[in-house]
Amino acid sequence: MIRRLRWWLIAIAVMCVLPLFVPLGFPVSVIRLLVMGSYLAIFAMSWDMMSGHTGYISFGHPFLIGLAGYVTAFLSHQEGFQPPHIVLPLAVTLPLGVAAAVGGGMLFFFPSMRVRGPYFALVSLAFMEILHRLIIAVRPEFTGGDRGLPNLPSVVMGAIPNYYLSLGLMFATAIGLWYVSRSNVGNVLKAIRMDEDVVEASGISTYRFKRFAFLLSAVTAGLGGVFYTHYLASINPRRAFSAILLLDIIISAVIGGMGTIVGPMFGGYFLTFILEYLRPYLFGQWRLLAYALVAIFMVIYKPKGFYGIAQDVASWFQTRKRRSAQYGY
Amino acid sequence: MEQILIQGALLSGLYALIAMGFTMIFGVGRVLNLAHAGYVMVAGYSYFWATYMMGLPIVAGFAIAIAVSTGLAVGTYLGWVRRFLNDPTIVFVSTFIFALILEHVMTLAFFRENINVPPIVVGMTQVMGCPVSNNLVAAVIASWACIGAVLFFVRKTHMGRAMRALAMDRRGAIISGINPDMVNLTTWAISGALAGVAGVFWGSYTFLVPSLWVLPLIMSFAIVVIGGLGSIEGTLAAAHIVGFMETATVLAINDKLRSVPGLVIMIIVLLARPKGLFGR
Amino acid sequence: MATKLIEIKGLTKKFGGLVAVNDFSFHVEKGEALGLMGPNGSGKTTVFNLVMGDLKPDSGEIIFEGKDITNYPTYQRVKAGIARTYQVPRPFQELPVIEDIQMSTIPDSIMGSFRGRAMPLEKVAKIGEDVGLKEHLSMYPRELTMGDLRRVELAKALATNPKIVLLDEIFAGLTVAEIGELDTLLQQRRKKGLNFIVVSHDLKALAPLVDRVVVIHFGEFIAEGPFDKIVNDERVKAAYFG
Ligand SMILES: Nc1ncnc2c1ncn2[C@@H]1O[C@H](COP(=O)(O)OP(=O)(O)OP(=O)(O)O)[C@@H](O)[C@H]1O
Ligand SMILES: [Mg+2]
Repeated sequence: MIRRLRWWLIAIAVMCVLPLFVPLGFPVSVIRLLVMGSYLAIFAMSWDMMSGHTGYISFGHPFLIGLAGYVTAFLSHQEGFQPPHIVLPLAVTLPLGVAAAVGGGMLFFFPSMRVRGPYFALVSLAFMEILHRLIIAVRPEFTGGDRGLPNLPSVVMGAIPNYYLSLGLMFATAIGLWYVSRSNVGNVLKAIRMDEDVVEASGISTYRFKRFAFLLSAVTAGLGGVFYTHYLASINPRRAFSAILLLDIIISAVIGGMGTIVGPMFGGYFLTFILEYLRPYLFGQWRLLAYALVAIFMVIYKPKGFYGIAQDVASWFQTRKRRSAQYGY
Repeated sequence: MEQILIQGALLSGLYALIAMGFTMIFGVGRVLNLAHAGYVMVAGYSYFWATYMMGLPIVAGFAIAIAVSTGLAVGTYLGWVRRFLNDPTIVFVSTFIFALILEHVMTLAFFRENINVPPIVVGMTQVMGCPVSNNLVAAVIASWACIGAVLFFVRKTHMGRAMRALAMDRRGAIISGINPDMVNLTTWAISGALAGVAGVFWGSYTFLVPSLWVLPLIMSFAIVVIGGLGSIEGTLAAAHIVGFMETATVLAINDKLRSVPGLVIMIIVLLARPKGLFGR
Repeated sequence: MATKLIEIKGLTKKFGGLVAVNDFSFHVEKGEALGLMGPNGSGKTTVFNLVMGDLKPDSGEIIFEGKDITNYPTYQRVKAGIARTYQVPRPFQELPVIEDIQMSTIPDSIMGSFRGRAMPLEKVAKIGEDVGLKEHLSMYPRELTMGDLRRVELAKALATNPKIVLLDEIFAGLTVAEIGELDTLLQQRRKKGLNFIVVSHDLKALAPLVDRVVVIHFGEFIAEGPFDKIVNDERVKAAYFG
């Protein structure tokens, strides 16, 4: 067991001691990037739980994340709006945000599950649009309208505490979802992607399993969403409900390897770093264009993702080891 | 009130043009093309570029816009969609990203500002005792002409019948000698051309902006769900329900809520009658 | 009444203008094996799809063990004890045969699946061996022949622990010897109380297996009776040859 998990334990240890090197000159900017990477990893894993496993592609993750973020932001921000409203402590608003993500998610899950096929994606997109519209149009003096809500309270202050917070959340999500993915529940979900009718014909309510996967997905998206929002300390509709965030999430999962949880986690970090380090070379719109072009190739040529490549390498080493034991080369 | 009727008729016509292309592609090929509304946006820009930047006549502008959107549609199909007809997930994720690519390209070429396209037909007329710009009237007539042409094509021509046969019974149609690839290609080309017409009028009705595709995409999806995926008559009817609701909302309640009523109807339809109002 | 395991009453299914199954009725007695015969395209597979709930009938009823299951979703019919094989096999492409079969034994509950209450692999392997897949248990579907894929179908159906199995052309693509083996297996299962509805073009394989045959033609019931009588029936001959 320990031997199998060796590399994971080393990776966790390295991630945990990394901030100790900041006083010795390790750049804080990298720490900040890792925080962003952790959140993207959470979102990508959350997306993977539903969409990567079952093949029901969700376009609604920005909706879940944004809804969670808005609820906690709205209830906790201190700027005086008229009429004065109650400011709740974070300990209350954070769970409420997660609950909102779950509730809102169920709202689009039920109608879209009435029919099979690509409805799920498009209904979730429609919900994102509705929420976006409602936030900017209905009582903008409460929701901040187009400008959003600035100056939100922080959960913890400073780069390093935030780093540990995001890392802890990330690992909790990863371990939880990984466990599900490895269990029979995960097997059923992956079988749904392969042939849903046949899963149904083996006496399993695919609806029950999809609902569970989606619930997990919504909980983790909500969790990531509330902490992410307070980390950024502001929220506005343009950023929260953007196609860019959606693309980031999907591409992280695709390059990591869909349906593996661990793959999308790596994908999240990888994407965050690569986008940041490309910044000086390709700016503004060109970077987005290049990114979208690469993304479309990734989707069309459906590579195995990092996870698949890692598996291939590992099995190559294993066969080599076995062969060398057998034949001495 | 008159305003709602007239503008509603226009918006409904444009929605019908866009949603018909969307639903035809689904009917024939069982895939959703999320880049469809992207063609609309690009066609609007092409018309603007040809007539106002190059100074070409309006007819040439139309021809170029339609050629560009048809070319994009055919290119999408031949480029990769054709190979993935058995994997709808790849098609709809990749066409979604393709729409984003179109948005980025248009932003690079024309920037992110709103562009007001001058009216195609100038002047005003009196309709039911209230002044209406000729441009609006022309747009309504043109979209209905296109709708009529498509209905005629689907009902009366050989290719149109092949399209319907494929949509109804794939296996049977292929056995009876229909070449699905050819029919698919024709469908994509027609839907691209419809998107082109819609794009030109959309630009002159409101304004052009590179993100113009998102809302039309979501709305045409809602229309197609309400009408019944794959049903052209249903799409026509639903386009008018959604178009008039939207116009009424914009004029009487709040411009920012424009898409909400249509989407709410879509959700109700999904819950109460998942086949759509006219679906079989 | 109490001796009927499953009863189909007036089942009708239209695809657009085509009436694939028209007012079709039959039943299976407890302990009986029924053959369902009919020329190509006569609606046999459609009947199976309707019984399993893969298609919704336009009218008609399906009664299983006295319960009206017409509106049950597929998985509840399977849990009630009906299983089927697909004429065109539908294995899970990314799973080895043994895991594919095991999939049929995963309980329909989230907590149950977490606790791993699926059938242990040794027992699953036994089911696979019974249908003649001993050498193929760790292979992937793309490495199997059509005949073996049909055996996988059978194994998956048996693994759901059914009371009745709908077999759609499982003998197609097998050699005479292999058909003999499968026949023996199915006979054994029958003695243990399993019921079958068998669709097969191979009348030789069908003959020893079934007690009674129902014939369908253009979606309509045309004859019923013991196998020997049916194959000599004029209407049946007319349906097949004319
Ligand atoms: N999903 C479907 N949509 C449209 N038509 C269908 C569908 N399924 C079956 N059909 C048609 O219904 C009729 C009956 O088909 P079915 O597959 O039930 O026949 P069958 O008796 O199983 O034939 P075979 O011996 O070839 O397996 C055929 O004409 C077929 O084309
Ligand atoms: Mg058949």
